Amino acid sequence: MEIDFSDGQITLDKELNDLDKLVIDFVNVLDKSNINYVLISGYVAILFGRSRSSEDIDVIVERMSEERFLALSVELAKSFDCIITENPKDAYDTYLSQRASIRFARKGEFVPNMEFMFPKAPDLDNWVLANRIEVILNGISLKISPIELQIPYKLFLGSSKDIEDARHLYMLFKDRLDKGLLTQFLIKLDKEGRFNKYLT
Amino acid sequence: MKLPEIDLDELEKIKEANFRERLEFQDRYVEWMKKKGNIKWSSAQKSIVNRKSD
Repeated sequence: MEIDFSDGQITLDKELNDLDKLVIDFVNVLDKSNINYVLISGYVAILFGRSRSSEDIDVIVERMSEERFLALSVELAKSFDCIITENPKDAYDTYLSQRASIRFARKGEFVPNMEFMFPKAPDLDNWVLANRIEVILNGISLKISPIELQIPYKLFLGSSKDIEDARHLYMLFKDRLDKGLLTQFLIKLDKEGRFNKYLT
Repeated sequence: MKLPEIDLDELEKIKEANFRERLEFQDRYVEWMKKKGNIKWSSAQKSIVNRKSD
């Protein structure tokens, strides 16, 4: 596996799968609209080679005004359908403002889709947005959650799939991780026991 | 029809053992990835990821 780490940035070239392509096209719209985002959860493991698919990709997006969201919706609608509600104002008022997610799929499709959410757990989610790391995938910039948080968070979610995701990331990155940061998140999420049981 | 006896403790142990086997497989997969070029593992991954949407 050829992967480069430098200056807090990870560079990876790979043959792109359908999930990678969906992510690249979606975050391209976010970037052009100057919207801060961070990719979290299962896609982080899939990005780095986990051999499984997914129906959705979780993306936390900075909280924004309704006016700014409506402008973003116009740009997203050129390539994507919001499959939760066709009305962007409803998406903002009924879903995003109530800590619920909305989902965007390629036009005419339903899965896979991008699960789009404002920070739901404000302290944690805003920390992730502020401390996101950059992955250069085939020359394209993606922003993902720090691996030191993703591993404990996956252990917190706790399904077999989640623990396997955590193990994949840990086995791949264990020589590169900030062990102090990893330990702090394991303690905060109360998952030291599960870490010791399944990852060591 | 006589149904089989079901030992839930035994099933839980089997479930846990199966999960441990999957985790060990995960380790072997990562070791395989690390030894291979990106084209090799990502082509294999692509066939898995794209299968559902083909």
